[in-house]
Order: sequence, then structure tokens, then C-alpha cells
Amino acid sequence: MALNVEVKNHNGRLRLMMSGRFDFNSNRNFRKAYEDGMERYATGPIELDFNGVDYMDSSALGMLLLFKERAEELDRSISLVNCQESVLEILDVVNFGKLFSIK
Amino acid sequence: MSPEKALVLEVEVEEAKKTEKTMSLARYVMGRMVRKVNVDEDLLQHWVLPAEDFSGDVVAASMTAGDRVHLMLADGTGHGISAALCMMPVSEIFYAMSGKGFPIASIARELNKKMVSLLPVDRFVAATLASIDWSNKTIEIWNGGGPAAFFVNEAGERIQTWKSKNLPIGVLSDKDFDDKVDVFHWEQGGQFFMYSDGLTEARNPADELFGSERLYQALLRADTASRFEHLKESLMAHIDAAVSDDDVSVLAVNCKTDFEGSVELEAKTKSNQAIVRGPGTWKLELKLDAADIQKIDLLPILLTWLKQCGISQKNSQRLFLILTELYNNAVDHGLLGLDSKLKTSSEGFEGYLKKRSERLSELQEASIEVYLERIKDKKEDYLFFRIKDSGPGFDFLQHFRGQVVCVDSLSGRGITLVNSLTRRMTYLEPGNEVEVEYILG
Repeated sequence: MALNVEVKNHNGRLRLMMSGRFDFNSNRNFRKAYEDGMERYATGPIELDFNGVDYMDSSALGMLLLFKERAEELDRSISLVNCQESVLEILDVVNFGKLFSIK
Repeated sequence: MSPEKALVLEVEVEEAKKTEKTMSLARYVMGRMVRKVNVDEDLLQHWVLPAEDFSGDVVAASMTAGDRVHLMLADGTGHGISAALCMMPVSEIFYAMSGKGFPIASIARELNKKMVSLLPVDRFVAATLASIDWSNKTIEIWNGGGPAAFFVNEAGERIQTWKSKNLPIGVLSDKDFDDKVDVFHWEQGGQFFMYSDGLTEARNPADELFGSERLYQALLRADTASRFEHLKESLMAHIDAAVSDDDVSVLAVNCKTDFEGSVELEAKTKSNQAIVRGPGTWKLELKLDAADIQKIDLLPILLTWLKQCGISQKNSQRLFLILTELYNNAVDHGLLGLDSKLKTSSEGFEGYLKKRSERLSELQEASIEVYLERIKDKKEDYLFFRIKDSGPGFDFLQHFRGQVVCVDSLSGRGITLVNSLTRRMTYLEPGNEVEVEYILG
């Protein structure tokens, strides 16, 4: 299933609810969602909700790096929340915990 | 068929031909860039099962100056030609720096620096670098985003595993990059394994992954001599007729306990004696202070110098061993006051290196003087080397007496080796200065 991203307000914070496969095909959906979201909720920390993501590849990791760079330009932080075991394993191998807060 | 349709078809065929040409050129170039592994088969086994498309895996191994082999397994993001293109500088840097005698920590750092500047933000390279030193029975490893590498004993049981502790190459700035390596010392023989994620992620026709459990089980079912082949067979049986969309790369190093460094080294060096140029006598004098000692990789610089001066490959390798040993002695024992006895157990060796790096980072007010001269006349042609540290000196007589008793302990080996490779080795009072002469002719 292609990646679907919903922009939500979670206790006043921007939360991006993701579901499906987060892979090289997700580029456009993912980027559009975070650009829209950051416009609608222009300040504050951002939460990326992985609850519905069951697969992630290395291109997805690359997209996270791009997103991080974009958020940092605007002085905003990103945390990754509700990650499933399979996603956590991948984040762990590449030590993305050193770049993002993972909850 | 209408003429328009025929034209469209013709254009499509032309395009397909062009693409095919590009692909075959890329395949040729990449084939030459990667997978050239030039190490004896009884020491190193490797296997690459290529995917349909380029997957961007790079496997490289290089004998370095000194008795080591450097290994690298790197996996770039993405697939296809773009992934392969991104990987081109990786193997070049690895081979060039290994050949010059740089340690893997410096190679990892340089790779990161280079790839950060070359790659777009969303691309990176997962890589594992390892250095195997048979004469000291140690493995150094740096893993940034690669699958866990491991060491198995003769029975195939994993006794050490190295998970990735770092971000992949090409993500962090040089300032934030951590080049710390893990060090392992093997007491009992075994094998060191590295693999790409294509191995554990290979699927069978029922879409099940090979997985790390099947991998570890396969290793237990065979003895050391056939373990590698057995792993290959297990994987092939698993894949059956399924098509792999990722390269599968596996490296295994035979870690023996009875390796005689200097003997093997002699057997390995080919007879490619370089021509000695001109009258070619020279002197080289260097003085390093504490900050230099912390920062500079002196040995690659000396090795490059020797090569530039036309010293043959065989002599350069031996001189590299001699210089490494004496320089490390000057730093470790002369300046940092470390006791070799610390090294004699497995835990001790790692403890030793930890202490070394602590004391080195705290070093102040110290110096090392290095003097290298080539002396040549009608009768003889030799190198004179002297190294002096600012430490208090050590009781070399006692050291020699000690090392005769435990000749193959980790501590005594180096000096014995230097002694056997040189015409003369003399310690000067109070023991902070040593001279050697090495015959070139």
C-alpha cells in the first residue's frame, strides 16, 4: 500500500499520521504532506507518527534526512513516535536515534 | 502499420539500444571498480551474488603495508546506475588510503568527509570497515549502518558481535563524526564474518526472509574448513528459484592462532623490486610535539616518503613494520607510560587500548624526534633510523630478558621482529632512544 499521510493537530502540535509502505515511491506524498503541514502549523515541534507504517527502506531514511534539514532551517524539531518493531530495528541499525528523538 | 507508428517504434528501439549500451558500459566500469579482492584465499573468502540490477554494494579487501588486511563492505542508498555512481569514490578512497598505511578510523573519517560533500542530503552509504592483524591477533572494526559483523569459534558459535554503533557515511559533519573503532583480540582461532543486508533479506519463493536465525544455524552445522561453502549452499537452497533484488555479499576471514607474521609476509610479497634511482642519499628529520602526536598519522607519511624515494615494495613493507613498532613503543611506553603486561589477556588488550587513547588525549609537554637517513656507498646501501622520545626511558635490558621467556606473548613479539629484520638495533641510555640499521641492498 502506498504511503498515506494525514496532517493533524495533536495538542496544538503538528502531527503527521503515516500509514502504508514508506519507500522510494513515497517521495511526493511525504514531501507534500510535510510542506502543507508546516504551512498550516507554522511553529513548534513536529511529530511524525509511524503507527501505520509496517515497512521502510533506505530511500525513506533519506527522505527523513531531507525533512530534518528543512525543519532545521525553520528552527523546528522532529520526533518520531509510535514506531513498530520492524521500523525501530531499521532506525536502530542506522543509529537515527542520534539525529531524531524517537518515542 | 502507419508510417507514424513505425517511426515511433523505431525511436523506441533506438532508445532501448542506447540504454542497453549505457548499462553495459556502467556494468564494465563497476565490475572493474568493485569486487577486486587481492588477498590469499586461505586467509580470506568472499562471495558476491549480484542482483538483477545494480544494487550499489561494494566489497573491497586490501593487504596493507604491515601485516594486516583491510576490509570494507559498503551499501549505498537506492538501486540502479545512480546508486552505483554514488559508490565510485568509496572504493577508490579505501584502496588508496589502505595502500598508504592509514588506519581504518582515518579511512572512515575521510570517506565521510568526501561523501558528505559529494552526495545529496537524502543519500548515504552504510559501511563496515575492518582491519585484521594476524600477528597481534586483533580485529579493529567500525560499523556505520551495516548489519552486525561477528566472530565465530571453531564450532561456529558466535562469541562476539559488532552491531552498528554509528550513523552511515555521508550524514554527519566532520565535527560530529565519530571514528572510534572497536578492538577485539582472539585467543582461540575462528572466523570473522561480514555481510550485506542482501543476505538476511534474501527471500524464498514463499516470500520468507533468510533471516539471521537461518544464518547462525548454517554456521553451526559445518566445520571451519567448509563453513563458508555451507553458508553459500544454505542460501542458494533458500532462494531456490526466487529472484534477488539486492546483492548478497559475504566476507569471511580465517583467524588463526599460529600465524607467523614475518614468514607469511615474505611469502606474500612478490619479487617486484623497484629500481633504485640515482645516487639517492637523503636525510629526513622530524620533531613532533604533543599536539602533533595526537593528530598526525606519522607512519603513512614515512611510508609515502620511502616509496617516493624508490625503496622497493618488499623493503617498504618491512620498514613499515619496523617503524610502526618503534614509533608505537616510543608513544605507548616512552610517553604514555603504558605497561605491555596489560595486553596479555583478551580483556586486557582492549583495556590497554582504551587507556592508551585516554592518556594520549591528555598528553601535554612531550616530543618525539625521528631521524631517517639513507647511507649508500660502493660497499653498502642501508637505512639508518633513530627515534627518541621525551619520556624517562625504560629498562631495555630487563625488557629483553623478559621477552625471551615469553617470546610469543603480545608484548615481546614486536621487538623480536624488529631485531630479526634489522642488521643492528641499539637502545641508548636511559632507554628513551633507539637506533636501527636496515640493509637495503
